[in-house]
Amino acid sequence: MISEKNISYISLISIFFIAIFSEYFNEPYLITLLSRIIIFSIAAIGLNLVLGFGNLISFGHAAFFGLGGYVSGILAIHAFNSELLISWPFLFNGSNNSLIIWLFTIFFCSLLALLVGVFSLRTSGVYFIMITLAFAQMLYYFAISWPSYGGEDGFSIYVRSTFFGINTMKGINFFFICFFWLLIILFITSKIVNSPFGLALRATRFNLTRVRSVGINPFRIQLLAFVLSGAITGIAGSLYVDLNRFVSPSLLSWQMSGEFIVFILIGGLGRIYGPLIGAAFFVAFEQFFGSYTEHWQIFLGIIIISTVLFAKGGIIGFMLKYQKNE
Amino acid sequence: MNKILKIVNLKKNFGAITASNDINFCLETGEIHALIGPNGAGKSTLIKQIMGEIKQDSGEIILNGINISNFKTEDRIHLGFARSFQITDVILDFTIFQNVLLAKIGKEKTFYNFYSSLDSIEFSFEEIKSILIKIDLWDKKETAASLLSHGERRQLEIGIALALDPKLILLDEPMAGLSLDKIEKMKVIFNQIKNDVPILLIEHNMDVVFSIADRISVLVNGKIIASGSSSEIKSNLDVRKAYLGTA
Repeated sequence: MISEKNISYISLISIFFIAIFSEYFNEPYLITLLSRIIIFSIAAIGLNLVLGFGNLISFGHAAFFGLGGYVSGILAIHAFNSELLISWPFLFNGSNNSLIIWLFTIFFCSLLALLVGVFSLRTSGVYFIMITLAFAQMLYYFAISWPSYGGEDGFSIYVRSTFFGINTMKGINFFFICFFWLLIILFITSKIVNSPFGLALRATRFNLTRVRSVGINPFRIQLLAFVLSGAITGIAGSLYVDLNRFVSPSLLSWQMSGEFIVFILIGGLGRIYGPLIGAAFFVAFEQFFGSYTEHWQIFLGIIIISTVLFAKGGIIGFMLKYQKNE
Repeated sequence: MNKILKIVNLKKNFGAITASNDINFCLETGEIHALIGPNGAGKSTLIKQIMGEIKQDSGEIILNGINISNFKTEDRIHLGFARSFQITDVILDFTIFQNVLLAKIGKEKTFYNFYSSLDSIEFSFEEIKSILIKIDLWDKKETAASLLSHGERRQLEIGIALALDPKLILLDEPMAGLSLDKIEKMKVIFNQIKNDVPILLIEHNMDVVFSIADRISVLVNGKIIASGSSSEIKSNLDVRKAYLGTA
């Protein structure tokens, strides 16, 4: 019997064991790939909170992904070079401690999400899409024209940040950190979605007048969801930079925002594990077809179009439906 | 009998037209009080003044001893006014249970709670169950609202209004568009909920009014010309002349 829950658990467990086997058979590239899948799915899970459950089509989530990346990268590079980051009111050298980096990331990404949310949530539909895109593009061009941190070329951070003395440069160890984050984020989002707040958020998706008339302010609900969403996607950005040990403006590009949306659509919109399945499919697809042709995106396009036309619930929705028909 | 809503010497003129002419009227606990009157008698104007949508020229509106004459509509809703036309839409993609639960969450202000599971929040289940039993939709609690008939949606609306724990309910032609058996069902429901919340009913269907209203007030040309039980109103000559058309 396949249920959404089973599909979700099976995918989690298989990712975990593929990583273990890859370590055993000494395939570090595969482990990096799995870490990438996990990081991308965390980013898309963040987006899915507002897109899938609140019907807020943010086309600017790369802003949070990129900001998370830049915050982490800047903290790390200053710590690495022992360069002062802040000289007033206290001296601060940056940090290569993961916990501190994550805290900063969550703080700044929430702040940015609050700012973007306050302005963009006053609009809806196409205007919301455009204004979120505009915010992300602003950051993108800012990053490009900021020479202190590599401008268009970005910059390298050489070593990963430290986490309780674990050797994070070892692929499998870093994978475990990402996997642990994925579990936390999945737990938090499923908690949120099934809470009173989650019900209110899902209600804003259908009928704002109704929500208002029972005494709930939909703007505040959406804003809070947007902040949570931005913080989650920011964490993914932080991990991504650590994985590649490289920060570049492409983290902030609109293609990145678009890919997050694609993960969600392929996996299943408004399903907690949808982004995980979608990201896994996307990365595997890219690897497989990318090794045959550099035009692999043509095939991806076909897949996306058929998903939209024939499998609206994404892969998860399709599997559940297929089973029902049998 | 406790007076929930009291209207004292309410007056409203639109230019030369007197829409409310010195109206005195009250809604007591446990009753269905029907307001009837021919078209243009000033029923809507009176309701709008009660809801605070238009302001009276003089007179007072008192809810549970509080003078709310100058309160805005939102504040009145906050104090416990529930009105049927403001709740004429339900969330179609939610189940019946979820629709009522959402109202409860709004009422209890637990909508920033994002850590408790919906199944475990203490107020929800029993209270919502009793509401759904009252509106006769308990059997269908897991049905999506989009699959309900027009009549069932009206029942659900009343359930949502009840979940907001109102002091009184204003029902503006609740039977409009309902089939005969649905009307019978609604009557049963109204008779049940009036013990919790008094109902001010505006209704054109005289059979309904005479069968369920505990008291009836007749509004003609902005003035209440008679107030009393069904039999009193039926036999009142002024009412017959002015409203029912047979002297």
